[in-house]
Amino acid sequence: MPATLRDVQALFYDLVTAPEGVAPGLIARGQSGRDLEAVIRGDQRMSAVERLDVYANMYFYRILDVLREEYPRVLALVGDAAFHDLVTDYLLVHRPRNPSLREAGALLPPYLARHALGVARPWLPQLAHLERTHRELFDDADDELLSLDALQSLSPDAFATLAVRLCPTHAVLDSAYSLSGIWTACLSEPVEPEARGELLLVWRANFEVRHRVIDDAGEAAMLSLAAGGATMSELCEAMTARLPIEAGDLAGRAFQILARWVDDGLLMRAADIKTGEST
Amino acid sequence: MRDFPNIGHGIGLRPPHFAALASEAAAVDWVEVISENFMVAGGNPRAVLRKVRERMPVVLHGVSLSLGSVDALDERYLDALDELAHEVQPAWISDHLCWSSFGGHTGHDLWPIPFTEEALAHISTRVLRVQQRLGRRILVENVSSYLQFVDSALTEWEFLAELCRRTDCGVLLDVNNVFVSAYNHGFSAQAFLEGIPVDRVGQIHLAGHRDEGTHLLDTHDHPICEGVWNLYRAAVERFGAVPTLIERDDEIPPLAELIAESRMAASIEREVCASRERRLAAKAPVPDAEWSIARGA
Repeated sequence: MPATLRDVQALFYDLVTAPEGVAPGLIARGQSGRDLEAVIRGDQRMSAVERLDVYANMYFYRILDVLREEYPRVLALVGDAAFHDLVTDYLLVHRPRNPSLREAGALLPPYLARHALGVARPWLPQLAHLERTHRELFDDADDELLSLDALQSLSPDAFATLAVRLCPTHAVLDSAYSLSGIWTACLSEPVEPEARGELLLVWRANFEVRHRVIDDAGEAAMLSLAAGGATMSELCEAMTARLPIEAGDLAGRAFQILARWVDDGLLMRAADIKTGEST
Repeated sequence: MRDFPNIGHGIGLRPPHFAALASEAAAVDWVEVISENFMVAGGNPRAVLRKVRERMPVVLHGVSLSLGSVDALDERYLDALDELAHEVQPAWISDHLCWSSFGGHTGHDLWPIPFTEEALAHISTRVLRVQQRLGRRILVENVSSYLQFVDSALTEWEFLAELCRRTDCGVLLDVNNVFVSAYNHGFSAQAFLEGIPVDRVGQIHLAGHRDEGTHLLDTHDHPICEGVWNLYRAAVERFGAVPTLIERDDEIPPLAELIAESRMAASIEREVCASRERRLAAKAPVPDAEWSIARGA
């Protein structure tokens, strides 16, 4: 009796995704190549197992290639063979579910934290998280940005009550290691990062994803508050609590930080600021 | 029935050529994009697509519709495709005669289907549903395959022709895929072409493949080989002037090389169509096909 479409697809999928290939997959099912030839035609040129293996190889290597591109620094630091094994293990736990191939590696950072590679090198999952964040912000939603002209056009009162809105295309990563130090270096000369805590701001500007270290306590405090939609006066208060700064210098320092955020393309245009108009 | 417009000769819009195609007057008539790569919220891909669309027609070509899967159609995927189509206003939308998902998981590949009545009924229902959801006819592409199922009762071309009849969809004829599958399974590529109704073919794909010794592998990482060019001549002889795309996804060469291949296709089309018209005027017979499926041809 012919197999149903569901039966055929169940067998095909099970064997194509078997971690060791089609032949070991058949053995695991208690079947042989002859059993497979009852479903898939083999011939003198290629057996049914060899033909299905073409698909098994494409399944694995297509995803491996995408993850190699997405995590080049993790790859450089662990090497080809370990990365290959990591992806094999990862796919056993996290088979792709999203139609987009870009999502195939989305869960690698948390998986790596539980994997032997990440347990031995706890900075590795954090580096993977930074690489994945770069990927995710690349094609996140677009926003209308706040301009420096619009910011400078505000009256003192309007400036104080302005609700600062950070673009969704940003992320703040709190790492226990100095990832910024190895970001560039590890591709050519793999080095392990120092165990030195780092707050990283990752954002997209002009279609390019960047990151920088936030080493100013005042900016860190402002970022934390701004994420909740604080006003300028609330941000200044937060700075006062963190920094030994005179009240007169406060607005200037806060404006400096805001100007940098505007320059970075980190702030969304406030709904009550109209382009080219003073308020 | 052939209401897919003849928009000429195009190439795939791929990242290495984003900047050039968005800002320069490239000598291509249109571009095809992989739908899934642009089903994103924003950023550079969507910005580039908007700019390119201002310059030329765009075609949406999907790889994850999974028409043959026994899984339910992915409604969120269809919503995203519909949203993208609403913005892009593509000349048409296409996907493949294959399956790529099972049990809620996706394989990110174009897996072959058994050519059975069960599969035909199943896929016909899904094509009709997709066309209803998108409010348009779609083109369905033949894939390269490396195996055949024992239970197949129809040939691939019989299956595709019947699918068109039942659903009124069109065919995206991938000439390279015909070439690759014909070699891998030992069928006649000419028989494949002759089995596809002339008025159903809305687009043609041309691409390169790799010789793996025991089989040909559809890799899209090589220039188009002579055998595929010759099969394209046979396709134009049968189907006439059809919008033709040069498909390259790996080892992507400079834009000028892709455009040269696209111009080559246009030149072949002109030559074959002119010859066909002269022959029809003289009521002369169609010459024998001059291409072969020999490896490395």
